[in-house]
Amino acid sequence: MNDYLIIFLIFLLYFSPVFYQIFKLLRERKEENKKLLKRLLRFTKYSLLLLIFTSVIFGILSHTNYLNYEKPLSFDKYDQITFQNFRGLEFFKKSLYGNKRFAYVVTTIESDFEDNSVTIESLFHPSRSFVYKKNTNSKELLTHEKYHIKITELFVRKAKENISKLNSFDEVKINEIIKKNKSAERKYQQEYDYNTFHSYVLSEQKKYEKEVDSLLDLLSEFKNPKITINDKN
Amino acid sequence: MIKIKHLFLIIICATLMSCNSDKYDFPLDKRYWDNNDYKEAILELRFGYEDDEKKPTFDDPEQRMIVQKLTDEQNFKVVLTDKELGIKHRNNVSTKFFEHWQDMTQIYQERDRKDNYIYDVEMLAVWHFGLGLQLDYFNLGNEDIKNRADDPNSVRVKNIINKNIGTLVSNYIIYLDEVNEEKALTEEGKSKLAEGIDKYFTQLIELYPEANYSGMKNKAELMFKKSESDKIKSSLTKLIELIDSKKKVELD
Repeated sequence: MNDYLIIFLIFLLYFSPVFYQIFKLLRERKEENKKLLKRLLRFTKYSLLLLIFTSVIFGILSHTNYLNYEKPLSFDKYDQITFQNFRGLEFFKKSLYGNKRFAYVVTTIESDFEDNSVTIESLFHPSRSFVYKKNTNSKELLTHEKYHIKITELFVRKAKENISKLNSFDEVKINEIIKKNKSAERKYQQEYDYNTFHSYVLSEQKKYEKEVDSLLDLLSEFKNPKITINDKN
Repeated sequence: MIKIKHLFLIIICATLMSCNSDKYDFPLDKRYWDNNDYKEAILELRFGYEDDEKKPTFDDPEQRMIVQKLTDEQNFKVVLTDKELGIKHRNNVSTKFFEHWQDMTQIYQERDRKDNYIYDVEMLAVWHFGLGLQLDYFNLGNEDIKNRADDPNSVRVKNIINKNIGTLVSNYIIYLDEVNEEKALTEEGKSKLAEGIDKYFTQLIELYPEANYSGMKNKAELMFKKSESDKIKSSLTKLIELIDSKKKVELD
Protein backbone atom coordinates (compact mmCIF):
# COMPACT_ATOMS: atom_id res chain seq x y z
CA MET A 1 0.00 0.00 0.00
CA ASN A 2 1.19 3.49 -0.78
CA ASP A 3 2.94 5.29 2.08
CA TYR A 4 0.79 8.39 1.69
CA LEU A 5 -2.40 6.36 1.89
CA ILE A 6 -1.21 4.74 5.11
CA ILE A 7 -0.40 8.16 6.58
CA PHE A 8 -3.79 9.47 5.46
CA LEU A 9 -5.66 6.53 6.96
CA ILE A 10 -3.72 6.79 10.23
CA PHE A 11 -4.55 10.49 10.31
CA LEU A 12 -8.26 9.75 9.78
CA LEU A 13 -8.22 7.01 12.40
CA TYR A 14 -6.30 9.08 14.91
CA PHE A 15 -8.60 12.06 14.60
CA SER A 16 -11.75 9.98 14.26
CA PRO A 17 -13.00 10.97 17.81
CA VAL A 18 -12.59 14.64 16.83
CA PHE A 19 -14.42 14.10 13.57
CA TYR A 20 -17.10 12.19 15.43
CA GLN A 21 -17.55 15.05 17.91
CA ILE A 22 -17.80 17.58 15.07
CA PHE A 23 -20.28 15.32 13.37
CA LYS A 24 -22.39 15.14 16.56
CA LEU A 25 -22.11 18.87 17.06
CA LEU A 26 -23.37 19.50 13.57
CA ARG A 27 -26.35 17.25 14.13
CA GLU A 28 -27.46 18.86 17.38
CA ARG A 29 -28.36 22.35 16.34
CA LYS A 30 -28.82 23.78 19.82
CA GLU A 31 -28.12 27.44 20.65
CA GLU A 32 -24.93 26.75 22.62
CA ASN A 33 -23.71 24.42 19.91
CA LYS A 34 -24.25 27.11 17.33
CA LYS A 35 -21.81 29.34 19.18
CA LEU A 36 -19.22 26.60 19.26
CA LEU A 37 -19.83 25.85 15.63
CA LYS A 38 -19.35 29.48 14.69
CA ARG A 39 -16.05 29.57 16.55
CA LEU A 40 -14.98 26.41 14.81
CA LEU A 41 -15.91 27.83 11.42
CA ARG A 42 -14.04 31.06 12.15
CA PHE A 43 -10.98 29.07 13.19
CA THR A 44 -11.23 26.95 10.04
CA LYS A 45 -11.58 30.10 7.91
CA TYR A 46 -8.42 31.69 9.34
CA SER A 47 -6.52 28.41 9.12
CA LEU A 48 -7.50 28.10 5.46
CA LEU A 49 -6.50 31.70 4.74
CA LEU A 50 -3.14 31.13 6.40
CA LEU A 51 -2.68 27.93 4.41
CA ILE A 52 -3.53 29.69 1.14
CA PHE A 53 -1.20 32.60 1.97
CA THR A 54 1.67 30.22 2.83
CA SER A 55 1.03 28.19 -0.33
CA VAL A 56 1.12 31.32 -2.49
CA ILE A 57 4.44 32.44 -0.93
CA PHE A 58 5.76 28.92 -1.36
CA GLY A 59 4.67 28.83 -5.01
CA ILE A 60 6.17 32.25 -5.79
CA LEU A 61 9.51 31.29 -4.26
CA SER A 62 9.48 27.95 -6.09
CA HIS A 63 9.01 29.80 -9.36
CA THR A 64 11.47 32.66 -8.72
CA ASN A 65 13.67 33.01 -5.70
CA TYR A 66 13.06 36.64 -4.75
CA LEU A 67 14.98 36.07 -1.51
CA ASN A 68 18.17 35.81 -3.56
CA TYR A 69 17.20 37.61 -6.73
CA GLU A 70 19.40 38.29 -9.73
CA LYS A 71 17.91 39.87 -12.82
CA PRO A 72 17.85 37.87 -16.11
CA LEU A 73 21.15 37.84 -17.99
CA SER A 74 21.44 38.34 -21.74
CA PHE A 75 23.67 36.19 -23.95
CA ASP A 76 26.60 38.65 -23.96
CA LYS A 77 27.18 37.67 -20.29
CA TYR A 78 27.42 33.99 -21.25
CA ASP A 79 31.10 33.60 -20.36
CA GLN A 80 30.54 34.99 -16.86
CA ILE A 81 27.87 32.42 -15.94
CA THR A 82 28.86 29.89 -13.29
CA PHE A 83 26.86 27.81 -10.83
CA GLN A 84 27.02 30.80 -8.47
CA ASN A 85 24.38 32.35 -10.72
CA PHE A 86 21.99 29.44 -10.20
CA ARG A 87 19.96 30.94 -7.38
CA GLY A 88 16.61 29.16 -7.70
CA LEU A 89 15.03 27.15 -4.90
CA GLU A 90 13.74 23.62 -5.30
CA PHE A 91 11.34 22.45 -2.61
CA PHE A 92 10.01 19.27 -4.14
CA LYS A 93 12.27 17.62 -6.69
CA LYS A 94 15.10 16.11 -4.73
CA SER A 95 16.63 13.99 -7.48
CA LEU A 96 16.62 13.45 -11.21
CA TYR A 97 16.24 9.74 -11.98
CA GLY A 98 17.69 8.96 -8.57
CA ASN A 99 20.65 11.32 -9.08
CA LYS A 100 20.82 14.00 -6.40
CA ARG A 101 23.52 15.91 -8.27
CA PHE A 102 21.38 17.68 -10.79
CA ALA A 103 20.71 21.15 -12.08
CA TYR A 104 18.33 22.87 -14.45
CA VAL A 105 18.41 26.12 -16.29
CA VAL A 106 15.55 28.42 -17.22
CA THR A 107 15.85 30.46 -20.42
CA THR A 108 13.31 32.50 -22.34
CA ILE A 109 13.05 34.32 -25.65
CA GLU A 110 11.89 37.90 -25.18
CA SER A 111 10.89 40.36 -27.89
CA ASP A 112 10.16 44.08 -27.95
CA PHE A 113 8.73 45.99 -30.92
CA GLU A 114 9.60 49.55 -31.88
CA ASP A 115 8.78 51.58 -35.00
CA ASN A 116 10.38 49.47 -37.71
CA SER A 117 12.60 47.34 -35.53
CA VAL A 118 12.28 44.48 -33.14
CA THR A 119 14.61 43.45 -30.33
CA ILE A 120 14.78 39.73 -29.71
CA GLU A 121 16.91 38.38 -26.89
CA SER A 122 17.63 35.11 -25.19
CA LEU A 123 17.60 35.49 -21.44
CA PHE A 124 18.97 33.29 -18.72
CA HIS A 125 17.02 33.52 -15.44
CA PRO A 126 19.40 33.00 -12.50
CA SER A 127 16.73 33.07 -9.80
CA ARG A 128 14.68 30.44 -11.59
CA SER A 129 17.62 28.13 -12.35
CA PHE A 130 18.66 25.53 -9.84
CA VAL A 131 21.76 23.55 -8.91
CA TYR A 132 21.93 21.01 -6.10
CA LYS A 133 25.09 22.64 -4.73
CA LYS A 134 26.45 26.02 -5.76
CA ASN A 135 30.11 25.20 -5.09
CA THR A 136 30.08 22.01 -7.12
CA ASN A 137 33.12 21.54 -9.33
CA SER A 138 31.26 19.54 -11.95
CA LYS A 139 32.41 21.18 -15.18
CA GLU A 140 30.49 18.65 -17.26
CA LEU A 141 27.22 19.52 -15.55
CA LEU A 142 27.86 23.26 -15.98
CA THR A 143 28.76 22.81 -19.66
CA HIS A 144 25.59 20.80 -20.23
CA GLU A 145 23.42 23.43 -18.58
CA LYS A 146 25.14 26.33 -20.34
CA TYR A 147 24.51 24.73 -23.71
CA HIS A 148 20.81 25.07 -22.97
CA ILE A 149 21.46 28.82 -22.94
CA LYS A 150 23.37 28.58 -26.22
CA ILE A 151 20.50 26.63 -27.79
CA THR A 152 18.06 29.39 -26.84
CA GLU A 153 20.41 31.96 -28.40
CA LEU A 154 20.67 29.79 -31.52
CA PHE A 155 16.90 29.93 -32.06
CA VAL A 156 16.86 33.66 -31.36
CA ARG A 157 19.39 34.10 -34.17
CA LYS A 158 17.38 31.79 -36.42
CA ALA A 159 14.31 33.92 -35.77
CA LYS A 160 16.27 37.07 -36.63
CA GLU A 161 17.54 35.43 -39.82
CA ASN A 162 13.95 34.62 -40.82
CA ILE A 163 12.78 38.13 -39.98
CA SER A 164 15.60 39.70 -42.01
CA LYS A 165 14.16 38.02 -45.11
CA LEU A 166 10.82 39.84 -44.76
CA ASN A 167 10.11 42.51 -47.37
CA SER A 168 8.31 44.79 -44.96
CA PHE A 169 7.87 45.29 -41.25
CA ASP A 170 4.88 43.13 -40.45
CA GLU A 171 4.31 42.63 -36.73
CA VAL A 172 1.95 39.68 -37.23
CA LYS A 173 4.44 37.82 -39.38
CA ILE A 174 7.29 38.61 -36.99
CA ASN A 175 5.26 37.29 -34.07
CA GLU A 176 4.54 34.14 -36.04
CA ILE A 177 8.26 33.65 -36.73
CA ILE A 178 9.10 34.15 -33.06
CA LYS A 179 6.37 31.73 -31.97
CA LYS A 180 7.56 29.13 -34.47
CA ASN A 181 11.16 29.42 -33.29
CA LYS A 182 10.12 29.30 -29.65
CA SER A 183 8.37 25.99 -30.18
CA ALA A 184 11.29 24.65 -32.27
CA GLU A 185 13.64 25.67 -29.47
CA ARG A 186 11.62 23.78 -26.84
CA LYS A 187 11.66 20.69 -29.03
CA TYR A 188 15.40 20.94 -29.61
CA GLN A 189 16.07 21.42 -25.88
CA GLN A 190 14.08 18.28 -25.12
CA GLU A 191 15.94 16.31 -27.78
CA TYR A 192 19.24 17.58 -26.40
CA ASP A 193 18.37 16.35 -22.91
CA TYR A 194 17.03 13.06 -24.22
CA ASN A 195 19.94 12.24 -26.51
CA THR A 196 22.65 13.28 -24.08
CA PHE A 197 20.58 11.89 -21.19
CA HIS A 198 21.43 15.05 -19.25
CA SER A 199 25.15 14.77 -20.24
CA TYR A 200 25.47 11.11 -19.16
CA VAL A 201 26.23 10.16 -22.78
CA LEU A 202 29.38 12.21 -23.29
CA SER A 203 29.85 11.43 -26.99
CA GLU A 204 26.34 12.78 -27.69
CA GLN A 205 27.05 15.82 -25.52
CA LYS A 206 30.19 16.59 -27.57
CA LYS A 207 28.24 16.10 -30.80
CA TYR A 208 25.67 18.69 -29.70
CA GLU A 209 28.36 21.10 -28.54
CA LYS A 210 29.99 21.01 -31.98
CA GLU A 211 26.68 21.38 -33.77
CA VAL A 212 25.41 24.28 -31.66
CA ASP A 213 28.75 26.13 -31.78
CA SER A 214 29.05 25.83 -35.54
CA LEU A 215 25.44 26.95 -36.07
CA LEU A 216 25.96 29.92 -33.77
CA ASP A 217 29.05 30.85 -35.78
CA LEU A 218 27.11 30.58 -39.01
CA LEU A 219 24.51 32.99 -37.65
CA SER A 220 27.00 35.36 -36.04
CA GLU A 221 25.75 38.27 -38.19
CA PHE A 222 22.52 38.09 -36.15
CA LYS A 223 24.32 38.55 -32.84
CA ASN A 224 22.85 42.02 -32.34
CA PRO A 225 19.51 41.80 -30.46
CA LYS A 226 17.94 44.56 -32.52
CA ILE A 227 16.89 43.98 -36.10
CA THR A 228 15.57 46.77 -38.30
CA ILE A 229 13.39 46.13 -41.34
CA ASN A 230 13.23 48.74 -44.05
CA ASP A 231 10.52 48.38 -46.68
CA LYS A 232 12.03 46.75 -49.73
CA ASN A 233 9.12 47.62 -52.03
CA MET B 1 -24.37 18.11 6.61
CA ILE B 2 -24.83 15.93 3.55
CA LYS B 3 -22.35 18.13 1.74
CA ILE B 4 -19.65 17.52 4.36
CA LYS B 5 -20.26 13.78 4.24
CA HIS B 6 -19.93 13.83 0.47
CA LEU B 7 -16.82 15.94 0.68
CA PHE B 8 -15.19 13.38 2.97
CA LEU B 9 -16.19 10.58 0.67
CA ILE B 10 -14.73 12.39 -2.35
CA ILE B 11 -11.43 13.06 -0.54
CA ILE B 12 -11.10 9.40 0.47
CA CYS B 13 -11.95 8.16 -3.04
CA ALA B 14 -9.53 10.61 -4.65
CA THR B 15 -6.77 9.53 -2.29
CA LEU B 16 -7.41 5.88 -3.00
CA MET B 17 -7.50 6.45 -6.75
CA SER B 18 -4.29 8.46 -6.76
CA CYS B 19 -2.47 5.75 -4.87
CA ASN B 20 0.19 3.87 -6.70
CA SER B 21 -0.32 0.21 -6.01
CA ASP B 22 3.10 -0.85 -7.33
CA LYS B 23 4.91 -2.73 -4.65
CA TYR B 24 8.29 -2.44 -6.29
CA ASP B 25 9.98 0.70 -7.36
CA PHE B 26 12.22 0.26 -10.41
CA PRO B 27 13.33 3.36 -12.35
CA LEU B 28 11.64 2.21 -15.55
CA ASP B 29 11.32 5.68 -17.05
CA LYS B 30 15.07 6.19 -16.82
CA ARG B 31 16.66 5.85 -20.23
CA TYR B 32 19.84 4.10 -19.06
CA TRP B 33 20.40 2.27 -15.81
CA ASP B 34 23.75 2.96 -14.18
CA ASN B 35 25.59 0.88 -11.60
CA ASN B 36 23.56 2.33 -8.74
CA ASP B 37 20.32 1.39 -10.44
CA TYR B 38 21.61 -2.13 -10.96
CA LYS B 39 22.63 -2.38 -7.33
CA GLU B 40 19.14 -1.40 -6.17
CA ALA B 41 17.30 -3.48 -8.77
CA ILE B 42 19.35 -6.63 -8.09
CA LEU B 43 18.80 -6.28 -4.35
CA GLU B 44 15.07 -5.91 -4.93
CA LEU B 45 14.86 -8.84 -7.33
CA ARG B 46 17.03 -11.15 -5.23
CA PHE B 47 15.72 -10.40 -1.77
CA GLY B 48 12.59 -8.26 -2.15
CA TYR B 49 10.37 -11.01 -3.49
CA GLU B 50 8.76 -13.63 -1.32
CA ASP B 51 9.67 -17.26 -1.94
CA ASP B 52 6.59 -18.19 -3.95
CA GLU B 53 6.11 -14.78 -5.53
CA LYS B 54 6.41 -14.55 -9.32
CA LYS B 55 9.38 -12.52 -10.52
CA PRO B 56 9.20 -10.28 -13.61
CA THR B 57 9.17 -12.31 -16.82
CA PHE B 58 9.13 -11.47 -20.51
CA ASP B 59 5.63 -12.93 -20.94
CA ASP B 60 4.12 -10.82 -18.16
CA PRO B 61 2.81 -7.63 -19.80
CA GLU B 62 2.79 -5.74 -16.51
CA GLN B 63 6.30 -6.59 -15.34
CA ARG B 64 8.01 -7.28 -18.66
CA MET B 65 9.61 -3.83 -18.63
CA ILE B 66 11.63 -4.69 -15.52
CA VAL B 67 13.42 -7.68 -16.99
CA GLN B 68 13.78 -5.94 -20.36
CA LYS B 69 15.47 -3.00 -18.66
CA LEU B 70 17.61 -5.29 -16.50
CA THR B 71 18.98 -7.16 -19.51
CA ASP B 72 19.26 -4.19 -21.85
CA GLU B 73 22.86 -4.13 -23.10
CA GLN B 74 22.58 -0.45 -23.98
CA ASN B 75 22.87 0.27 -20.25
CA PHE B 76 26.56 -0.64 -20.26
CA LYS B 77 27.31 -0.04 -23.93
CA VAL B 78 26.40 3.65 -23.68
CA VAL B 79 29.33 4.11 -21.30
CA LEU B 80 31.80 1.39 -22.25
CA THR B 81 31.81 2.19 -25.96
CA ASP B 82 31.82 5.98 -25.54
CA LYS B 83 35.26 6.99 -26.77
CA GLU B 84 34.87 10.50 -25.35
CA LEU B 85 35.19 8.94 -21.89
CA GLY B 86 38.58 7.92 -20.53
CA ILE B 87 39.66 4.27 -20.57
CA LYS B 88 40.27 4.21 -16.80
CA HIS B 89 36.78 5.53 -16.12
CA ARG B 90 35.19 3.07 -18.55
CA ASN B 91 37.27 0.25 -17.09
CA ASN B 92 36.10 1.10 -13.57
CA VAL B 93 32.48 1.25 -14.70
CA SER B 94 32.79 -2.07 -16.54
CA THR B 95 34.32 -3.73 -13.45
CA LYS B 96 31.32 -2.65 -11.39
CA PHE B 97 28.92 -3.84 -14.10
CA PHE B 98 30.71 -7.19 -14.15
CA GLU B 99 30.36 -7.52 -10.38
CA HIS B 100 26.66 -6.67 -10.62
CA TRP B 101 26.20 -9.19 -13.40
CA GLN B 102 27.65 -11.92 -11.17
CA ASP B 103 24.93 -11.06 -8.63
CA MET B 104 22.33 -10.87 -11.39
CA THR B 105 22.92 -14.51 -12.29
CA GLN B 106 21.36 -15.49 -8.94
CA ILE B 107 18.00 -13.86 -9.71
CA TYR B 108 16.47 -16.41 -12.08
CA GLN B 109 18.15 -19.66 -10.97
CA GLU B 110 15.08 -21.22 -9.33
CA ARG B 111 13.92 -24.68 -10.36
CA ASP B 112 10.70 -26.59 -9.76
CA ARG B 113 10.34 -30.04 -8.20
CA LYS B 114 11.08 -31.69 -11.54
CA ASP B 115 14.39 -29.76 -11.73
CA ASN B 116 13.10 -27.58 -14.56
CA TYR B 117 14.07 -23.94 -14.59
CA ILE B 118 11.12 -21.74 -13.64
CA TYR B 119 12.54 -18.70 -15.45
CA ASP B 120 14.69 -20.26 -18.17
CA VAL B 121 14.26 -17.50 -20.77
CA GLU B 122 15.01 -14.78 -18.24
CA MET B 123 17.98 -16.72 -16.83
CA LEU B 124 19.41 -17.00 -20.35
CA ALA B 125 18.75 -13.32 -21.05
CA VAL B 126 20.86 -12.51 -17.99
CA TRP B 127 23.53 -14.84 -19.36
CA HIS B 128 23.46 -13.01 -22.70
CA PHE B 129 23.81 -9.68 -20.93
CA GLY B 130 26.94 -11.06 -19.24
CA LEU B 131 28.39 -12.50 -22.45
CA GLY B 132 28.01 -9.16 -24.20
CA LEU B 133 29.36 -7.28 -21.20
CA GLN B 134 32.46 -9.45 -20.93
CA LEU B 135 33.49 -8.63 -24.49
CA ASP B 136 33.71 -4.94 -23.53
CA TYR B 137 34.96 -5.59 -20.01
CA PHE B 138 37.96 -7.68 -21.06
CA ASN B 139 38.69 -5.43 -24.03
CA LEU B 140 38.82 -2.31 -21.83
CA GLY B 141 40.91 -4.11 -19.21
CA ASN B 142 43.44 -5.07 -21.88
CA GLU B 143 43.47 -1.55 -23.34
CA ASP B 144 44.15 -0.16 -19.88
CA ILE B 145 47.03 -2.61 -19.38
CA LYS B 146 48.54 -1.54 -22.72
CA ASN B 147 48.18 2.14 -21.86
CA ARG B 148 49.85 1.74 -18.51
CA ALA B 149 52.75 -0.43 -19.79
CA ASP B 150 56.13 1.13 -20.58
CA ASP B 151 56.33 -1.12 -23.61
CA PRO B 152 52.89 -2.31 -24.77
CA ASN B 153 54.55 -4.72 -27.20
CA SER B 154 56.69 -6.45 -24.59
CA VAL B 155 56.38 -10.21 -24.09
CA ARG B 156 55.23 -9.68 -20.52
CA VAL B 157 52.31 -7.45 -21.55
CA LYS B 158 51.37 -9.78 -24.38
CA ASN B 159 51.34 -12.73 -21.97
CA ILE B 160 49.05 -10.89 -19.54
CA ILE B 161 46.68 -9.95 -22.35
CA ASN B 162 46.66 -13.50 -23.76
CA LYS B 163 45.95 -14.83 -20.28
CA ASN B 164 43.01 -12.44 -19.98
CA ILE B 165 41.64 -13.56 -23.35
CA GLY B 166 42.05 -17.16 -22.17
CA THR B 167 39.95 -16.34 -19.09
CA LEU B 168 37.31 -14.74 -21.32
CA VAL B 169 37.18 -17.87 -23.51
CA SER B 170 36.89 -20.05 -20.37
CA ASN B 171 34.02 -17.88 -19.13
CA TYR B 172 32.26 -18.38 -22.44
CA ILE B 173 32.74 -22.15 -22.19
CA ILE B 174 30.76 -22.08 -18.92
CA TYR B 175 27.75 -20.96 -20.98
CA LEU B 176 27.99 -24.18 -22.99
CA ASP B 177 27.48 -26.08 -19.71
CA GLU B 178 23.84 -25.05 -19.99
CA VAL B 179 23.52 -27.59 -22.82
CA ASN B 180 23.93 -30.22 -20.10
CA GLU B 181 20.78 -28.75 -18.58
CA GLU B 182 18.74 -28.59 -21.77
CA LYS B 183 16.14 -30.96 -20.31
CA ALA B 184 15.42 -28.29 -17.72
CA LEU B 185 14.63 -25.79 -20.48
CA THR B 186 11.43 -25.14 -22.39
CA GLU B 187 11.49 -25.09 -26.21
CA GLU B 188 11.70 -21.30 -26.02
CA GLY B 189 14.61 -21.64 -23.63
CA LYS B 190 16.43 -24.00 -25.99
CA SER B 191 16.01 -21.51 -28.82
CA LYS B 192 17.33 -18.75 -26.59
CA LEU B 193 20.33 -20.87 -25.63
CA ALA B 194 21.07 -21.51 -29.30
CA GLU B 195 20.70 -17.79 -30.11
CA GLY B 196 23.31 -17.01 -27.47
CA ILE B 197 25.81 -19.36 -29.12
CA ASP B 198 25.10 -17.89 -32.56
CA LYS B 199 25.38 -14.28 -31.51
CA TYR B 200 27.94 -13.94 -28.75
CA PHE B 201 30.36 -16.77 -29.61
CA THR B 202 30.59 -15.42 -33.17
CA GLN B 203 31.36 -11.95 -31.79
CA LEU B 204 34.03 -13.38 -29.49
CA ILE B 205 35.78 -15.33 -32.25
CA GLU B 206 35.62 -12.39 -34.65
CA LEU B 207 37.11 -10.12 -31.99
CA TYR B 208 39.92 -12.50 -31.03
CA PRO B 209 40.42 -14.78 -34.06
CA GLU B 210 43.89 -15.80 -32.94
CA ALA B 211 42.94 -16.99 -29.45
CA ASN B 212 43.13 -20.64 -28.48
CA TYR B 213 39.69 -22.17 -28.97
CA SER B 214 40.69 -25.84 -28.69
CA GLY B 215 38.98 -26.18 -25.29
CA MET B 216 35.86 -24.53 -26.62
CA LYS B 217 35.81 -26.74 -29.70
CA ASN B 218 36.23 -29.86 -27.57
CA LYS B 219 33.37 -28.77 -25.31
CA ALA B 220 31.16 -27.93 -28.30
CA GLU B 221 31.78 -31.39 -29.80
CA LEU B 222 30.90 -33.12 -26.55
CA MET B 223 27.78 -31.03 -26.14
CA PHE B 224 26.80 -31.77 -29.74
CA LYS B 225 26.85 -35.50 -28.96
CA LYS B 226 24.81 -34.96 -25.82
CA SER B 227 22.21 -32.52 -27.09
CA GLU B 228 18.85 -33.67 -28.40
CA SER B 229 17.75 -30.27 -29.62
CA ASP B 230 18.10 -29.59 -33.35
CA LYS B 231 18.45 -25.87 -32.76
CA ILE B 232 21.24 -26.27 -30.23
CA LYS B 233 22.99 -28.87 -32.42
CA SER B 234 22.83 -26.55 -35.40
CA SER B 235 24.35 -23.68 -33.37
CA LEU B 236 27.12 -25.94 -32.06
CA THR B 237 27.90 -27.12 -35.60
CA LYS B 238 28.19 -23.51 -36.76
CA LEU B 239 30.46 -22.75 -33.81
CA ILE B 240 32.77 -25.68 -34.56
CA GLU B 241 32.91 -24.67 -38.23
CA LEU B 242 33.73 -21.08 -37.31
CA ILE B 243 36.58 -22.18 -35.01
CA ASP B 244 37.91 -24.46 -37.77
CA SER B 245 37.71 -21.70 -40.37
CA LYS B 246 39.80 -19.37 -38.17
CA LYS B 247 42.33 -22.15 -37.60
CA LYS B 248 42.58 -22.66 -41.35
CA VAL B 249 43.27 -18.97 -41.94
CA GLU B 250 45.95 -19.10 -39.27
CA LEU B 251 47.62 -22.15 -40.95
CA ASP B 252 47.44 -20.55 -44.40
